[in-house]
Amino acid sequence: MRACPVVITGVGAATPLGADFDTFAANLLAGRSPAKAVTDSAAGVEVRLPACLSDDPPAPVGWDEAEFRSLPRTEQFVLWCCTAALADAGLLAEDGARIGLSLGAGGEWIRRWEGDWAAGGREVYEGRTNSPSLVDVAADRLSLNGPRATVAAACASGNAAIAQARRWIELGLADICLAGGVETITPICRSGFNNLRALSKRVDDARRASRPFDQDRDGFVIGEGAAILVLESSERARRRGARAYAEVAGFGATSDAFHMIIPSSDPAPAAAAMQLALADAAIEPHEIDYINAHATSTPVGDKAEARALHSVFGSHTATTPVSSTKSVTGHLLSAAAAIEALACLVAIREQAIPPTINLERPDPECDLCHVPHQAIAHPVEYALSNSFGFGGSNTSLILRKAA
Amino acid sequence: MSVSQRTTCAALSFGLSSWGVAQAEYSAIGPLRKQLPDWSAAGTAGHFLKHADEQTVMAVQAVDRAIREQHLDVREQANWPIVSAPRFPGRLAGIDSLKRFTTGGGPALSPQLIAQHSLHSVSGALSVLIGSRAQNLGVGGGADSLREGLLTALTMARPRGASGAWLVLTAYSPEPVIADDGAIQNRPVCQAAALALSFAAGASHCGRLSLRGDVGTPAAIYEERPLALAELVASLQQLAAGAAARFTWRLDWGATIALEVRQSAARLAAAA
Repeated sequence: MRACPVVITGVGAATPLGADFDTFAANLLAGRSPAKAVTDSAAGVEVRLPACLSDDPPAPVGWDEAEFRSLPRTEQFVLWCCTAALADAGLLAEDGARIGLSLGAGGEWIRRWEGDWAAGGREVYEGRTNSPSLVDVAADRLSLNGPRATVAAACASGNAAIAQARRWIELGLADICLAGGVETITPICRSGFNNLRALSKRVDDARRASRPFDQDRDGFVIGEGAAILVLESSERARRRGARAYAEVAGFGATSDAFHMIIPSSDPAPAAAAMQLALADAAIEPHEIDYINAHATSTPVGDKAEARALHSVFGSHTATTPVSSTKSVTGHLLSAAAAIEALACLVAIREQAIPPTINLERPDPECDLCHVPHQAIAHPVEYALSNSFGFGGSNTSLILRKAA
Repeated sequence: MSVSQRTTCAALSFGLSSWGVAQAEYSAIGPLRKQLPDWSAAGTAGHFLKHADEQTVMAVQAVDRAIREQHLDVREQANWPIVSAPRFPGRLAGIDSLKRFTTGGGPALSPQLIAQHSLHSVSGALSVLIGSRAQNLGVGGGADSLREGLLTALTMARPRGASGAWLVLTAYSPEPVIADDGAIQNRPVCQAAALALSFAAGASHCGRLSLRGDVGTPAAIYEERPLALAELVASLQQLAAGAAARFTWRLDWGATIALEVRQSAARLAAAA
């Protein structure tokens, strides 16, 4: 056990499954996917794709609705989630605490330039060096007075952000830290991934398009949203009587050092990330009660992760429940790991494993202890969440039920 | 919680086992794409940098200088984390994408846009070239990416058994100004500074990077105009043998980052 455990005391969410934790939990456990066909048109060319879009997040209490809606959409997601997470942690009235922000956001600027350009702006042509970044804007609007940074490990960004926030608390640089990820998808983002041939083509059957570990999987379903967690030391949380959802017990990160896009067929780097997380949490593989897989529903990636899981969990692979909640939420890219940390909190709070929906014909090369179609009741003390990304990033986060 | 109740901030410090800087005008970057360093991981395709962001190309140049000038062994860096902090990565690729999207729709976009021109792309490319299987992380991306990069490199977890880490800072100065037809209207210079951070005690022959938490300091010390990468690169390029340069960045939440860089005669000789 770490000298000073760091716990999660608040959550804020704006996801395709809802904009609060309870709604997210109910829809996740019920396996209700919001995926639908989306059409982008430009230059007379239509691109239709399945996608899991999020509703615009609510305006936080005290905000003028019109003013809030005038903000860039990504900013709305971050401000809503941060405000909701602080409120959930009972911290709105807190003053004097040094509050940091560690945000996973890989495409902040291209998205911003695209939005500005679509509105007739020229920021992308000019490169304004005085434009504040999302973390600075959020820190300013929410009066955050701790360390802050945007971090990116592609689709593993959220896990990296949570790990960095934990470090800042352990090092005494922050009393409290907001951490998570955000992703809003745009026509260029959708087409960019589509041209990589990473997305499912099952556009006329959108709710069945995301099917991790299934033999008929053909790519991921792109999604958008955000999730932000409040982290603080367990000592501080106890002192102020705060409820803790879970402890951030372990983290491990590695790189494939193989390719900028294609995951390594060698399971060793991804397995090493899990082993580092287990060592950090000071537990053995058999103590993990639930694995939230990265599995995005791509033919190559799911198989590679299954091999990595076998190499870490050995004989326990057959009995440790695994699900990919991307089957329900879609793949939220920079926000995926943060959303999947939320899914692990659901598993811990409800003592239930969320399902992998659409898993009708399990791929024999992904021979795992699947939880297909429906959630199951299961004791969960430790949950491990894998998130991998372009650039060869592999991350594993372990959350432990709070004492 | 009152200020006095805060946990005492740790003082964090790394030595520098080497450093390197590089810069090139935009028009000179193309040929550099074909120059893979001889320390590149075995099997790396010769066209590895063909679609890379310009800031990735300059990052490789800066790391190459740091490696050559202190004769670092890349094989010993297989477990070094890599932090990169580019400013506005992918802006030129973004303009190209907007143009393609307007004229040809979604199918006209380059599939390289997301993988090669995002915030993670510089660190991801370096991890492939160096062959490092430790964490690679992109940081910042905006106007303040330099300070975010310094902070993250100083505070991220040190992997067990690793002797160091790379921190690579990149930016254009001046930023390219682009006309509607895509023509560059000024003479932008892409710059990079690579710092080889050492976890070993006493290994600071090329300098030191440190963070001091100013516990209790009011949050009113934010520098109006923090030291930019362009000034850092210019100072380091002029550093004479035996000389040292010292830079500080104050963080508005009550901490100071200090970077001391030393120039040795051996480094200058190697560079020559």
